[in-house]
Amino acid sequence: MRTIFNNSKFWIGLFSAVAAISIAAIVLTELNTGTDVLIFYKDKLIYTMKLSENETKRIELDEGYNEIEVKNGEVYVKSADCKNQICVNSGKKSSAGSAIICAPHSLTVKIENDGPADASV
Amino acid sequence: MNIKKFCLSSMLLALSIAIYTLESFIPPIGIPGVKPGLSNIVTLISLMYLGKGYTALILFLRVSVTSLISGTLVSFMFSLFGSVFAFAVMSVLISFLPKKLIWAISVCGAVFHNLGQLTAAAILIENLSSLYYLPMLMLSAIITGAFTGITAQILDNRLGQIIRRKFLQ
Ligand SMILES: [Zn+2]
Repeated sequence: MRTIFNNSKFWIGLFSAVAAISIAAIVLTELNTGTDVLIFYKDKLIYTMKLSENETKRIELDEGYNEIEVKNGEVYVKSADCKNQICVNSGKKSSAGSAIICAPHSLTVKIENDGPADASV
Repeated sequence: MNIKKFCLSSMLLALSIAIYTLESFIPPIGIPGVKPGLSNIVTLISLMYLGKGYTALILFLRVSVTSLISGTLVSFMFSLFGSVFAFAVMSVLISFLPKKLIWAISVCGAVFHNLGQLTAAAILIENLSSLYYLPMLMLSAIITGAFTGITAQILDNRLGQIIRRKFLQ
């Protein structure tokens, strides 16, 4: 049976397209600077910060703690007692739409833009 | 159960646990979920020689054993969702794509592995913020999937005959 799926070129084309769209999405996200830091426990908003104001906040949950710091327009998880430490290793974020996730604590640090163009959640 | 196939699957299981454990020592690069995914080489080899049933069993045992070693429900969830998604798409594709496209099957597996992990993250954090990582995870899946797929293809060329003669006849 000869179908388009048996052709290497189809797959190379498909994967190149996905890669190109992904790169475009990464670049577009990076270009869009955020203003607000929203901290969620599961789907509940529990705390907000401004990227323009330096602040350190320790969030205590039943699952454990996350210490979140805003410094020089960037937000990052300074320390946490989760086992995988993925949130701490996620680095500093400043663009709108970006997020730091601590899955073991069901915690999300989300950056958004409060500008008039904001149509997200 | 055929004793030779049983031996081969035990060896592949041991190999995949070893590879998975070694991989967990690689320091994080700052993007959650981005990993070489080298144990996918074993999954591909297993799909080629032992078929879907044995491969599903090897994967499930690998996920269970490695999660017992690392010891958290969260790591078990990520591992299980990634493996189930990857297995689902690769076991379908391998039955109708030719062998020269193992690399493409592998890329699809890596892409779905990462989609599975995003799904696990979304369930754990109960929102869709993990989608932020989707483009990075798709890019890394294409690169690592092509690498593991080409490696499996080379292994098949070099060792396929021996494995078939020793274990499958
Ligand atoms: Zn964490």
